[in-house]
Amino acid sequence: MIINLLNPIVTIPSLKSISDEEALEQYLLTQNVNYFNILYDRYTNKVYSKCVTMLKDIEMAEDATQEIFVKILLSLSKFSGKSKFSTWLYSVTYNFCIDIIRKEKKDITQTYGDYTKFEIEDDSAFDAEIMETNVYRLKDVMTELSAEDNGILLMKYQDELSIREISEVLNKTESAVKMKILRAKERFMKIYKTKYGESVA
Amino acid sequence: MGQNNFKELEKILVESRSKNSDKTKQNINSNINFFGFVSNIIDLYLPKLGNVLTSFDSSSDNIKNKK
Repeated sequence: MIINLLNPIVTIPSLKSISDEEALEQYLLTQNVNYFNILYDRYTNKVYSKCVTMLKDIEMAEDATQEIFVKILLSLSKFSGKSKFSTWLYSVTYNFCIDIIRKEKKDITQTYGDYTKFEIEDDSAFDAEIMETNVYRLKDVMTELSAEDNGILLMKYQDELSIREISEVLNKTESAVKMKILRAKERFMKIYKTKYGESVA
Repeated sequence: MGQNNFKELEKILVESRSKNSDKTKQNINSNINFFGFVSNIIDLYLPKLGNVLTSFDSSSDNIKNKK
């Protein structure tokens, strides 16, 4: 009762038209839960799907989604606004999942010694082919990939982040990011070829 | 550009998400309410606590001066 009195739920007009940054600003100003809920509703599924792909466990992904939003809530004042809210959220999600995997002592960077050798020379090569991979095969291959590779491929293809944005998320240089993408794609192609006996292309 | 099946994969994973998402939202809202409650308590009582400490300090100074 006291909690409800201290945080009255006020109806906010035109919720859907408000930008992420405006919702954030209004939440910090008014502490009205509805503003935070706008951000939650917009991004919860994206965060959840990333967590499932990286953690490979539905229950862990649901818990992680909750914890990520609480973490976001507690560090909202630290958000500088230099990058987009979504980029910042993906950054928190990616790093949170990597931390969980480290704690669980699972492999973040796996070696793929048993897989067929596959090398790509150009960092933009095979983009279309990878994106057009049959969705069930895609899911299958991604369960074999490491969390780090999955995270990078999701940022590139699912969220369509630029190299600069990915470099902000990973806190690496753009050339390092290009190399990481290249390696992740190579490993994707290796696993695909080994599993299905044909290349993606 | 052709089809992007990474987005399709996201849809499939989200569709298979259980009703837990509502529970997650409720839990987050409870957290928000709790943090709001705690911050209100702090806002309300911290200045008073400051005043109490200041008055203690000044009264101990007075006692020293009297001695």
